[in-house]
Amino acid sequence: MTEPLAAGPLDSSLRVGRTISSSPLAADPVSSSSLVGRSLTALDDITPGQILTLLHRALWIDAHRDEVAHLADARVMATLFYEPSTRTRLSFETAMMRLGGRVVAFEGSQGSPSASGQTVETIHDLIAEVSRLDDLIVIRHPKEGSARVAAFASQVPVINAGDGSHRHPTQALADIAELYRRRHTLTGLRVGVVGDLVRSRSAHSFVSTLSRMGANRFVLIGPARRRLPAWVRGTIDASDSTYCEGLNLPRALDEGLDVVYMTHLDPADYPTAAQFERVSARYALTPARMAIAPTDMVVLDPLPRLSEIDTAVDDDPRAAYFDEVHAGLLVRMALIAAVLGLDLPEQADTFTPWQEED
Amino acid sequence: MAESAENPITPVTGSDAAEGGATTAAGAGLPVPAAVDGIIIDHIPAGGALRLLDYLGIDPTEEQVTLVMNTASGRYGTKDIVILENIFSVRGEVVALVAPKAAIDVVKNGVIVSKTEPEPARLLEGVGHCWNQECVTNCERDVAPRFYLVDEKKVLYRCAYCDSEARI
Repeated sequence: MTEPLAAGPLDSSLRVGRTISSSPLAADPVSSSSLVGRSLTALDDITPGQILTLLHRALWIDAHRDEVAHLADARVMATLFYEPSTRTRLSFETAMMRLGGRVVAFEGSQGSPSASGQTVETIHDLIAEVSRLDDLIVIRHPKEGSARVAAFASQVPVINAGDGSHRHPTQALADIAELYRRRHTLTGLRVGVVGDLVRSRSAHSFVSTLSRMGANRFVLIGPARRRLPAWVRGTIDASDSTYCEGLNLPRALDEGLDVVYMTHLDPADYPTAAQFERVSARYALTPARMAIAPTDMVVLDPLPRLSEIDTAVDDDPRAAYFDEVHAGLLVRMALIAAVLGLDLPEQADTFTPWQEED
Repeated sequence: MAESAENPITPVTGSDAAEGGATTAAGAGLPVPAAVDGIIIDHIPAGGALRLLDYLGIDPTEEQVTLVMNTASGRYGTKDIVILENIFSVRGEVVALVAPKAAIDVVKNGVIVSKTEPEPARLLEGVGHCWNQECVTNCERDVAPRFYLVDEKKVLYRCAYCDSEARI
């Protein structure tokens, strides 16, 4: 497989701190320290080994909550949300507070007004200012690539909390963290990805990251006009993973999936509510469909849910989507600690509670 | 007058050139002025010459430019040719973006003194713009476009901000 070029040319621009090494597939405790001072606009910017280390650290934090409660004392995180957010913003802010840090928040539309109230300040200028006030910036913006602009402008680490329909790297960390907690592996998996694959930034980050974590096989299921974008399929091609398209959901479940990643269709894309309901039913997870799925399948959903998962599935032990919220909190705590250089013990880098249990 | 075996343009020197006369593009039968000193960019895909000038930042109202457009090409069917007088260097990676199979000939005193093929850059900055209207580069002021190379053979670039395929 060829080395993906996507992250390479921009790496130096995104880096505030040290450089990173190439990617072993095992946890990478040595190079994980190089996350200090770095921005995270895409998980492509860091190695699979570093991602695995973050997952281990998240598990360690969960088992040692008291020990991290004052790690970020006197640190301040700014959350700049140019569009509404519920889970992601609460998750980031809770994560910082549970590390002992403080949060300042901005929530606006396309930019902050100038003193005259007539013009809109650029992302660059606002970030350049905020990065002189705070230790860490978390940004969500409706335009694709906005987090990269912020990272270029910032003097402190910037974390992408969603940029348009492009990427949502920390949601992917949450998805993968919960998957790892349940399956104890991130390779050799058959992964169904269902729904609106063109617009789901969470699915883009999930697929592009999981494809790099091991040799996985993706089954892409959705309306023909909602295909996974070429750049995401390109990340699969550049990895040891593969993908196929064209299967319907019942057949894919029947043939066996280790993971099914559900996203919702957008009612605005359909002329009538009836047509939306008809199409969305094809790509919905119901108790009847769960009955033909493998008994150890993991059901993920970045949420919010529309109609892609029947609420009757919620009590199924395979439903992992609410647990993902908890995993997201932990992995954001691990990420904040990593980019701020907050010390965790060395054993956190390889910690897995299931080894302890064994 | 030196002549490239692959280049159908046969500029003439001497009285014709000095008087600003035209010559004939061999094989194509097109009248073009002589390139006495400057650069000939040959094998540009038909229709790409104006875009190439734009990407190279060459203002045809300021520079002496000759265009041959949609002319016959034994190798590619049709092509464009750009002749730049008194310009002796261009960004090869920008030429590669529009015309990956181009030939860049530097002509001095009517003689081709160098002949190069453009090589695509891994990262291309400040050229073109991203077609994706949802890309931040189309709403944020003063953000220089950046494209990264994903396929060297196809010279396929993607936007370094939104990852959309560059449509050149």
